[in-house]
Amino acid sequence: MNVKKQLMDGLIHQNPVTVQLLGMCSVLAITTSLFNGIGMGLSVLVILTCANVVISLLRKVIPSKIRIACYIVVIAGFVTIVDLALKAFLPALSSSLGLFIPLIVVNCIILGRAEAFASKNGVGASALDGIFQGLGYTVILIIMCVVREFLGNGTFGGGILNGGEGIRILPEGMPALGMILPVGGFLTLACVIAAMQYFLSRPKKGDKKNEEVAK
Amino acid sequence: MSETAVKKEPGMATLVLVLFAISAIVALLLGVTNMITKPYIDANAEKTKQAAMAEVLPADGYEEVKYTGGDGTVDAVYRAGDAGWVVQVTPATSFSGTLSVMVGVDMEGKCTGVSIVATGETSGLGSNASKPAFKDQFIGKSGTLAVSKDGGEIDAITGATITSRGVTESVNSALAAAASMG
Repeated sequence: MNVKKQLMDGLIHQNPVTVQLLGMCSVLAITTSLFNGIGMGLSVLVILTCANVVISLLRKVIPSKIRIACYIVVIAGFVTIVDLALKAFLPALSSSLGLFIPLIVVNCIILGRAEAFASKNGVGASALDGIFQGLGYTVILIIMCVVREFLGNGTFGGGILNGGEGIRILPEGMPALGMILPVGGFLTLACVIAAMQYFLSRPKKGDKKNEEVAK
Repeated sequence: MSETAVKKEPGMATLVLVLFAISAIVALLLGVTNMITKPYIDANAEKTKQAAMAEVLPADGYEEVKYTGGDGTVDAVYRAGDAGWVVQVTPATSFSGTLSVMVGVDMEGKCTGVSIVATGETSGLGSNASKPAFKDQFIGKSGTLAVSKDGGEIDAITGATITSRGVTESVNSALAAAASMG
């Protein structure tokens, strides 16, 4: 396993959101301000990396018949730890993300990577996979947040910059509220995926992998 | 998968043992985490509560008094010195069931302020109930209130009518509770 390929897989070729289409629920729901996006992305990154490492370590111990149950217990454990830690040390983020932190348990990115990668690869590669897939997720979240916050609320950096209000770019009343509503989430996500697929499907010099992904 | 297929199929006892061991270790870790974080979480909750009470009705101190009225949505009533009452309400109406509102009521039965203590409402919509543009509408109001959609005078938050109704209900409950305290 080489690091560069894993990085490119996580960010582009096998991006958890735009190519594997995993974890859609949280992507649609929480991408309304930059603070949410970064917080959620990093939470998933930490949980995914920890879960990948532990599952990779236990992959010879866990019988295949009960592997899913074991994965869920491990994942739920890490999610609860992160949830408690956020409540204790970052209450603002915790209240802003609300239910979506506990719901990371059922985020299919984490179970998906446990089943598809960590259960078949060594600890080092699994840890890297967790970090890079987490980064890929975070990057898409941030893109979605910036677009939706700008169009729907007219601000940039809500929750972090300018005392939590965000820097106002569009005047009040001009932004389209629909972009903050669920419908805006679907529209933005569709555009992001379409853009990504367009760049992925452009033929590159003898790169067969790209063509496979495009199909 | 292939390596497990070659090996002898593990018996039921092994399955139970492995899952039990993993669960036990995770449970232990969670217990430790809870022990470490609990004081911080409690302190945060207390801080939020104190800040909310000071925001809705400034006073030197707050003393919890027993609420004897029949309104089940009223969680607690605090006596804020001579200034009035602070009432914590969990309204029956909320978008996701975790709304908790602190309402200040002065001696004349007027609302002095509203603060959202806990909310599971949609980020970016229902969570806007914490913004002054919405909650400052309640200041100075008394009697029974309703959102404009229901023929009242409170302008609901765009895209979050249910949350707005929940907060309005909370204020009504709080005003009634404070009135009953005399």
